[in-house]
Amino acid sequence: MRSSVSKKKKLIRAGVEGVLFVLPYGTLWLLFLFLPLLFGLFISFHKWNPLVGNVFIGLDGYGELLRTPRFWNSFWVTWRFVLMVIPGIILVGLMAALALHSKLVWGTHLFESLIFFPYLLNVSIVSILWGLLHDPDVGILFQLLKRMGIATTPLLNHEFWALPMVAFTTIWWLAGYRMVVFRTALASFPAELYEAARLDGAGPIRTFFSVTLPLLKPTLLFAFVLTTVSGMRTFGQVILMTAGGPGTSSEVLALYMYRVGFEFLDFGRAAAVGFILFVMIFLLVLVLLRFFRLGSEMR
Amino acid sequence: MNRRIHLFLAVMISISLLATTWARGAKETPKEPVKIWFNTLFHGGDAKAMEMIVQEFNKKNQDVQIDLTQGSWTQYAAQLNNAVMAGEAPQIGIILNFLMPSMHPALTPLNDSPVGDLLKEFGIKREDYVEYVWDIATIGGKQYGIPLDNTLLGIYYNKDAFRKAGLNPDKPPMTMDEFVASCEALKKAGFIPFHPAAFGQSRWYRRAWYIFYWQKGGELIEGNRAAFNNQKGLEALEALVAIRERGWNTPGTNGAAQFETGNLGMMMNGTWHYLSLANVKFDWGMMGIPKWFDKQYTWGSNHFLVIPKQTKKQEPLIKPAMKAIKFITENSHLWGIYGGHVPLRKSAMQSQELQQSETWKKALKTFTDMAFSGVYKSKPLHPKIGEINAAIEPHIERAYNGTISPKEALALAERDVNAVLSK
Repeated sequence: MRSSVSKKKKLIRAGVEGVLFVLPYGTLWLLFLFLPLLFGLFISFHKWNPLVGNVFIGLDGYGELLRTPRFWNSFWVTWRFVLMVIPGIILVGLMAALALHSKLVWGTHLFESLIFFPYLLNVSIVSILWGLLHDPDVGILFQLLKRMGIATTPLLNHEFWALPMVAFTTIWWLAGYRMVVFRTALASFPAELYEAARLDGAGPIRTFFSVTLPLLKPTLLFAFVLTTVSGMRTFGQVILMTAGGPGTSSEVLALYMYRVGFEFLDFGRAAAVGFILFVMIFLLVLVLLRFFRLGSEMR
Repeated sequence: MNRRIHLFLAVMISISLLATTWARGAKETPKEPVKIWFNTLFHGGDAKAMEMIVQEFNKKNQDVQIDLTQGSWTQYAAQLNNAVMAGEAPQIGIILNFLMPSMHPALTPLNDSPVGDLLKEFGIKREDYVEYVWDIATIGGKQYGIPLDNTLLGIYYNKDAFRKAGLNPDKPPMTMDEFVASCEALKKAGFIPFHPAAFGQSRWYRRAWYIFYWQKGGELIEGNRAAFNNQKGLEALEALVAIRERGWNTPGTNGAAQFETGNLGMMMNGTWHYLSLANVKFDWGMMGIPKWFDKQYTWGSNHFLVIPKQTKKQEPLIKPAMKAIKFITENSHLWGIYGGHVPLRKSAMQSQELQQSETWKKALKTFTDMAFSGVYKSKPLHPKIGEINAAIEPHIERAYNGTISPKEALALAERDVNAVLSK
């Protein structure tokens, strides 16, 4: 009886300590993320212009969006972009990490630096640099592709290729950070497991699927969530490289939201786009958690 | 008694000494100038010109000093709107004519401000400015801005390229036939003949199509419906698409870069581009806009100097802001000389300094003639003009690129514009 009371006390104490540790970040999160999110939701139910008076319109703003072809265009463009970028970044990052970990690559430090370096650059620099490489008048890449007979029109002005080119740039930019994350995880795996697998006669492929991949699950989940969130919210690369064009072929939801708010001055509708984007990200992350089945391991 | 007199004298001397010192101190300590914030959307050569005018103001006015920030164009109006809502608006801002109907709730009415009738107090009169532009900022009897300039699109051309192509650089093409012949001659001589959309973004293609369409006699909106999906609109768009089809340029290119490197014969661009051409290594000119179709029209807009709505605490800054606005427009001949735009204050337009300047000779005279001979036409002053433009431009760009036909483009643009107008 006595020991169960002290156990309870210990648990409460641990709980209070936990809350206290979370409190500084929790306060900031509440003030700068959660409350603005709720305020955004509130705005999305209004025709928002405090200068002439806000008008409550309920779900009309959402209804109007769902009837707008341009919204649906950016909705599908965002999914196309995410479906290119998420596997691209994870695969390139993982393959580079595995190559470095297994010492298959000559000049490890140089290779690692080359892959990681783009991550240090700002989105504007990355986008302007790749935009210039594709430039039809001065771009080296375009001239090269033209001479090889691969491209006759600039790829960033091509309705099919513009989005994949932005996705390629994003992969080049972000894969390095994922590589570092995977590499750190790989280095922490106990050597005994690999030794045991080898003694059991497992080849490199079997070892990867039976030992490395299961151990990598939490890291993969982290990388997937991070990439999903950044992929869904992509804005900078698109506005700087294609401005959503040609036409609206690369206009992602974040850019559409920016246009509705900052160019059409309709902040209520922009908030509705933002909230739809938030729900999409939230649901996708839930799917990822379910897919990786980490809920029980975390508990 | 003596003691009392001595004490009285000592006190008097002390007081007079203190008073003298205080008076001297007050005279010697410079009075803190009032600081006002001026935020503009200029980002090209004209930003530098505005900086010069502001420096001039700061030099001549010790009591008021302007803190100038410039740069953003696309989100400028939204930022200004948000700044007013947050109670942190600049004291002076810039508003484009076509945004006046949607932006005026964020602005201080100058003839009915919280600190009185500023126009009366500062002696600013309608007749001192180009009246029809002044009237754009008059809404419900209230004046929301003072006209600064007229910006227009014209055609800059490479005179050296003209010479090499066997064309007369002093007689640039002013009709469709002459224009086609010039483009073909330039192409034959190895030049890229023409770029209709200086920086290649979709809004530039839309402006080019507006010009063609207006020259055909068309109107964009009638009643509350799109009015451009017709024969005139189609012919105008086909004329734009013909630029690509005839091989006069390639989609996705930057006309300004092509022109500045000497590879382009003719480029459609605005008044603001004058300063960017200061250091090019070839002879160039500005021809105005040809009469391609029935009526000679070009696209243009106006900048207005405005005072965004101020909080109670900021109200003492309204009069200093008006003083600065008055100075800027009175000195807007400098805006013409160094910024390339057509000033709209009559005295500035007639200034000898302006009319003897290199800018005037090279480009501004042509632009000014265009502005006041009925050639200039602006977008409709519609409260949803931003969204209307955005609904049109992707389809015009796709037609130019050859992804969809001009007919399809106009049908799609009509669908999207009507959807905007019906909201």
